Amino acid sequence: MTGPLAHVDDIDRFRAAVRAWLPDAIPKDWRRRVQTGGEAAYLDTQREWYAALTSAGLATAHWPAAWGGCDLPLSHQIVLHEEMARADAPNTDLFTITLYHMPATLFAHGTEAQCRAYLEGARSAGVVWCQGFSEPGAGSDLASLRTRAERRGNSYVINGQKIWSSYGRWADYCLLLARTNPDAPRKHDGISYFIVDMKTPGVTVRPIPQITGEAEFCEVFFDDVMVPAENLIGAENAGWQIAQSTLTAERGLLIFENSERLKHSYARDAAAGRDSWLKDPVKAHTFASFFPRIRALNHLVAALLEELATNPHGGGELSTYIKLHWAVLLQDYTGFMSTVNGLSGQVETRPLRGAGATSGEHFYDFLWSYSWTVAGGTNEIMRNVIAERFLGLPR
Amino acid sequence: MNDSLDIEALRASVADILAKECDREAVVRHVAAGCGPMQPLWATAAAMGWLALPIPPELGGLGLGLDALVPLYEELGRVAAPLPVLNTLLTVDAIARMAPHQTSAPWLERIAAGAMATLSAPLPVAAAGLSVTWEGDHLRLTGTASNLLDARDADFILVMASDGQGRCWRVMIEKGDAPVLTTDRLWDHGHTLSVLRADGLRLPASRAFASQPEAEEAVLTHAALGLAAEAVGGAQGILALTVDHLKTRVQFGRPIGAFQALKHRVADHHTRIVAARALLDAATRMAVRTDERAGSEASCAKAFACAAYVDIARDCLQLHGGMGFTAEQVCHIYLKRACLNAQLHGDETRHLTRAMAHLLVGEAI
Repeated sequence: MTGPLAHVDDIDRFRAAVRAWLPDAIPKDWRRRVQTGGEAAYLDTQREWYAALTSAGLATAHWPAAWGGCDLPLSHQIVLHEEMARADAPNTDLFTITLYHMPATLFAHGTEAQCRAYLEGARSAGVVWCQGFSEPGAGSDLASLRTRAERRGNSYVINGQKIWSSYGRWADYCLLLARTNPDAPRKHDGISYFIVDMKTPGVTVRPIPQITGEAEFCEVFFDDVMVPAENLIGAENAGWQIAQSTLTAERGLLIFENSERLKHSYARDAAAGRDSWLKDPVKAHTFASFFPRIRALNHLVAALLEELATNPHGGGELSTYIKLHWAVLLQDYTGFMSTVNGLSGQVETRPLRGAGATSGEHFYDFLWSYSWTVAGGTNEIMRNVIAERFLGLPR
Repeated sequence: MNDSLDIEALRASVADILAKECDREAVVRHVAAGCGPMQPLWATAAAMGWLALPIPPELGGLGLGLDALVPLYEELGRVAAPLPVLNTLLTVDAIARMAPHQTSAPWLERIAAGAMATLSAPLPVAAAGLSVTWEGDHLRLTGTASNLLDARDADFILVMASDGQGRCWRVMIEKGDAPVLTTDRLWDHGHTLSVLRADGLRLPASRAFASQPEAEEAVLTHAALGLAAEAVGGAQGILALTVDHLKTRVQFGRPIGAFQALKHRVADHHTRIVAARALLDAATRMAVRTDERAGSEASCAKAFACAAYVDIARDCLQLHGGMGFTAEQVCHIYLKRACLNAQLHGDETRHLTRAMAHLLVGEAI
């Protein structure tokens, strides 16, 4: 093996090899291309970057060797993400479910046949997966979802509607939660987990126009969609537990990547403002007050990764605090940064996907920050969880 | 002490003693009766060896580092203990770093045995309001040293003086020197604030030693970590009793903690404390291994934790309703301590500036 993976035995050499490998591997001029070329250019750069990572074995290095990975330890994945953030590489947004949630689900709960059918395509060809979890009537209260899956012969027939499926338009497959037993005494116990081919007749995807000018999130409609019974993951009605067990599949790496990018963005913003708006004492004080919040985030995430290194299913309580701290910090910071240069911050910019939550287009980042304060448990749900579960306040 | 178990044992023993000798009622009684250090507790602190923790073993101490002191400060903060432990141990730190061994040994031995000490904050040289001149084997001090916390009760006061040639000196004043002090009560009755005036005060020349910028920076880092630790402890202390209050206070037929508007506030406070603790722990580890960014990180922790403590104490007093406005209840003591600590050894602006100085010259984080 050549490239960075030839040096996994020595983490310092691995870091050096990643650092040396990145400059040529990162798609050239990707920020400008994404901003000027729109959605098509975004998809191109994502695919180019994924191909580059795959050619070095890095995209799926964290997978088991049996499925084309190399069991890259979490410590090395951290190094990889650190170096990618440092080098301002694009992220692998489009492939988040492909790289983490889908494989984690199949490794733990999939059949041999399911693993064979889906993993290799994801690894080598960058097949895009999405999630079909939330529904218009099941957001914070996800377990009340109503999309139905009825067994008919060797198939399940799916009817219903999903919402907020990121990259749904570009996805080849969907990880779907649907209700198989509407009569279960506990609503959590009547849900099953399916793989759905997005090309199946009856699947309709409608992009949702967003406040950022993009349409990355989608609604997915299921109208008598026939799904082979072999696409059921795990046991019927065990979907809720499976989904819960794989929600943290990325093991803190996504928040780590974002916290690293925020750290570098802050240093860049400080350098950029040094001779201009940072001379204003009021702006300088506000800007400075973000620094401890960012350092606290970096340390909280480091503590989470440390916990996950020893207990892959741990870190639940800590990740709740991190989610709330990060989401509020990100929104405050991007909102503030959009004001430092006066009216020019209000000039609309072209979308810059793939640069993480702090792309540097501050107002655009500020608008996107709502995806963090709302998605994956709103700030309000996080506060309920903290107050009720961790502080023991009455419901 | 590298063994984390030992540090947790130390923390537990400190917490245990404070629970017995510095409970809420005792603190409320103490601040109602007067102001300054809680004397019987100070004797206990000395007897338990808390003051000896950082003092070298050959001088009767345990030779421990900041990883042992930070939990001590945190526990003292948790009960809003009216004790000048931090300034005493900062004085120890300054002496140990800058004074010649033969001078420092007797001071450190006395502190290990229970002498109380305080110091002029390790602030920039320009802040020195005292001047020092030499006469053979004696020195003379003239001018004022202000902002001396708990100097009224201290056995040692380590001031800062300039020699008129751009050099800065630390000078130790002992109780027996009969320094002229003007002492103010503070809103926080756990401490007092003094100004020292000297008009040619004559002391042995051995009382002076050169102030060294790097050592002063290290003492400032210690101060920042100490106050951040007190803030994390104090914020936890007042939040814990507020959460208890929300669980037990019943209005409109249910515990007020069931109201989401209140619940969300304490959830935010708790999250902020978790973040402050992460910062404090990381900054402490950096200081212990003398990382080049330790000062920056400690100032981050100081600015963040002290501001959080103030905000949390303010809101917790509010969450106690009318009870929070009474002197018999402990909330006001936390609030006053939080506000005092936010100003001690540099305010938020000063520590934010120190924290991010390296970024403003274009370095990476």
